[in-house]
Amino acid sequence: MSTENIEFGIPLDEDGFVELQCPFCNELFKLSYEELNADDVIDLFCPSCGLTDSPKSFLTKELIESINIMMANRFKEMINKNLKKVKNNSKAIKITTKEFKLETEKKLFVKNNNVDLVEFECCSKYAKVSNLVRENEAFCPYCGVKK
Amino acid sequence: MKYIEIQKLSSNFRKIASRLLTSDYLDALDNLKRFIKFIDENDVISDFIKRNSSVIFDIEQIFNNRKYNERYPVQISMSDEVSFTYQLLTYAASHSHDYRNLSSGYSYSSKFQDQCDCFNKIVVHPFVQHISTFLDEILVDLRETQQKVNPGIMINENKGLISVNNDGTTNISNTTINNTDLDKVISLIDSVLSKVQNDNTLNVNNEEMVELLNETKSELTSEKPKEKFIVMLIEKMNQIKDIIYLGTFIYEPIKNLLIEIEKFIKIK
Repeated sequence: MSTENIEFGIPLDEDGFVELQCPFCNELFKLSYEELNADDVIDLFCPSCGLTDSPKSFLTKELIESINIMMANRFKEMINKNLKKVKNNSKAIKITTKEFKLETEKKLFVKNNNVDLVEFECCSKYAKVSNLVRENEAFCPYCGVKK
Repeated sequence: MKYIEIQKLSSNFRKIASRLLTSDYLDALDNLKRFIKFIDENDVISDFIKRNSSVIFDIEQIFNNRKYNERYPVQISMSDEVSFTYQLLTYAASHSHDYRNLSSGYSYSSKFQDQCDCFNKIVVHPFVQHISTFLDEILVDLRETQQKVNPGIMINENKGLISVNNDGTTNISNTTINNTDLDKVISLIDSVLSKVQNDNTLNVNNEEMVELLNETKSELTSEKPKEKFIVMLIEKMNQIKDIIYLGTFIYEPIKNLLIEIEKFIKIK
């Protein structure tokens, strides 16, 4: 059984921020990719509801859907490739194969949501949050303390 | 309670709630027990729930007679929703042997994990949100109070304007009195007085509180109020307000009284 690694890219905005989505309240926000990849980041807090989970849970639904389509397509390509190798050696049995149809892969792009850059002095880090969340004082995504 | 203590409480509550909301269905019952224990051991949150628990539901009957795919009758109003969910979760934590019993029928998927996630999303998450909102409101109130207290206070009473600076010194100048504000303050003092006299659950001395309120009232209504005495009374009332647990029955009336006094006593 072989293992195949499939790489995919996550689009960043002009400041190097990646879009994330809270798994609890579905709030969209952005964090610096560089800060997010630091070794000391174990869990993330939603700036809106303050609930916490592992960083991978904060991937946007759109991104997960896109990855699922990409994975399914790679799998279908592998099957289609092997189906072509099937040869009909018997005169009594006729084998017909039909290729799997690939789905259209979504192209991910950075949305220019109405987000404001907020500095969290507690951790000396930045986040981009919606106006509403900023007005209600956002939770720090790294330590969960209210700004 | 102080601002920093509520911050810590809010943070700890959200962490333990997140643990329950994201738990595996096999660990969910243990996490539920941790969650309920945390709530019960905390005076601020448990007092908020007690205040909203005006209705006692027959949870045993609802829990045991529920059919498969039938959802719990979560209530519409915020107060009843908090009350019902707390009673349901408490009953499940002490009587249920498996989280699957509690969460069954909440998803069209046949997977136990999906049932567990859906139950948490539909029933537990709104309950967590109500408590988080309550804690956030306390934080906002505390921050507002701190911002008002820090610059120093200025008292506008019968005979003139008394300003108390941060260093403790006072300045007095002549001004006029607003009788409407004074009447409002007096009526609020009476209201707080009746509540304090009837409440034995306070963590402060009731007699001391009654005495302080009576002194404040008589001093404000006297013909020749003593400036230093009024300043002392207000400082003492602020100290008592800080001692009283946030979210208790008496906290809101005292807070309103101090707000009205602050209107009467102009903030610098």
